[in-house]
Formats: sequence, structure tokens, C-alpha cells
Amino acid sequence: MPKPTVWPVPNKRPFAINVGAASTQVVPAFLSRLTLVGVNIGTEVCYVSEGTPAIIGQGDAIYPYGSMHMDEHNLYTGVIYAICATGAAVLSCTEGSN
Amino acid sequence: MRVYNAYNDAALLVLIAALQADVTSILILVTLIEAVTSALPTLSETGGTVTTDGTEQNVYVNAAPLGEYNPICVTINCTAQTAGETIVIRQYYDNVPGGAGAILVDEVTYVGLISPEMLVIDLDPNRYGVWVTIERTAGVARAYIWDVHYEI
Repeated sequence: MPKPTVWPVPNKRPFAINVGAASTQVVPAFLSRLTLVGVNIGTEVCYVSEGTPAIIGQGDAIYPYGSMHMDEHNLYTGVIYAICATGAAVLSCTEGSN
Repeated sequence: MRVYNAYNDAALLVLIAALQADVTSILILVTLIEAVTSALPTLSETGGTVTTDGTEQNVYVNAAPLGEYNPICVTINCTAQTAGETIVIRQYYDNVPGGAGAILVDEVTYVGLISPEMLVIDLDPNRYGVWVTIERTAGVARAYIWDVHYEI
């Protein structure tokens, strides 16, 4: 499998997602994705799931001012979801792509 | 995906807040205790020497205490007295607001050599004044070292 990283990453897209109390799509599936970085700038923990709708208490827990990092070592190009308990989590993200 | 989470210090902050509340309570109690201990009387001492001249002389006088006053005792060192001296020790108090002057409470005469040589005159609490005097009625001038112990 060829190493997916392209250096430098040609495209960067900043965006923010208000994570709801129901599973919320963070990014859709995107085959050209190279990197994804997100910081929870909200006030409650959110749970991130790759590929399937997010469930409270499962997946990657991102606490307030915690962050998630996706790069060549753990790249996932499918859909990513997030969920939190009361809707007070906000993911500030940057997606890099080809 | 790599995840980095900030240290969750919520529990620590709760403990710190509880500690701060305890410290505040302790400070209040310490302040109260300090007020009590500061008001406790402090034992003090002063003294001097009286050389008798044949008249009634003050040994110790507090003619106008600032308030209720608790003198403990006056000691008079009579080692200088010989068989030829006679002294009279008198004690006076004033109990009139504004001060009416010394009123005799007690009088003791010591003839010749005094044994034991140290006189201890016990004093009582008073508000308006206390006097202890010495008068040589016989013999020659002698020096009597004295001191007084009192609470302030």
C-alpha cells in the first residue's frame, strides 16, 4: 500500500462543528483526506467515532481543550461522527487534503 | 486517531476549594484566640532604691491607674538595716473616683535587725491608687532596694 502522505499537504480547510446530543457528522467520507486535526473548544467532553454513528462513552473521548490528530500513521478517509451529552462541545478542525 | 486531552483537574480544584474554606475558618478562630490572648495580663516589674531621710518617703506609688489595676507585691530589701534603725512601712489605697488621696490600710513597724531580711508587701487590686511608703523613725540613713510586680 503506498504511503498516503503528500508533503507538503496541498490543501487545508478550517471549519467548526457544533457537536450535538445526537450523533453529528464531523466530516463526510473523503478519499483525498490527508490530515485531520480537531480541538474541542466547547465545555463538555465529546466522543468521536470513525465510520459509524457516535455513541456516548464510546470511541475517542475529546475533553474540553483536548485534541484529535489524524495523519499518515492513522489516516481514515471515511465519515467521522461525534456526540456529546448536552450539545456543549464544539470541534474546531482543520482538514488537509490532496 | 491520536488524542491528547488536557489534565482534568476538576477534582483537584474541588479539594483546593474545600481546603481554602478550611483555612478561612481556621483564620477566623485564630483571630478570636488572638484577641483573647492579647487581653491577658502581662506580669511586669520595676524597682529602685530608697535612702531613708527621716521623713515618710514613697517606695512605690501608682496614684492614677488608667483603669482597674492589679499590683501583686512590693519587695523591700532590708539587709542594710542595722540594730539601730527603726522603720515604719505603710500601705495606702484610694477608692474615690477622681482621686481623693491615699487612705491608710496597714502600718507595720520594724525595730532593729529584720529577719527574714526581705519584706514582701502583698498588694490588692485597685482602681484609683496605691502607695507603699517607708519612714525611718530611728537610726541613720540606709538604702533599701525595692521592686514591685504588677499585671498590665
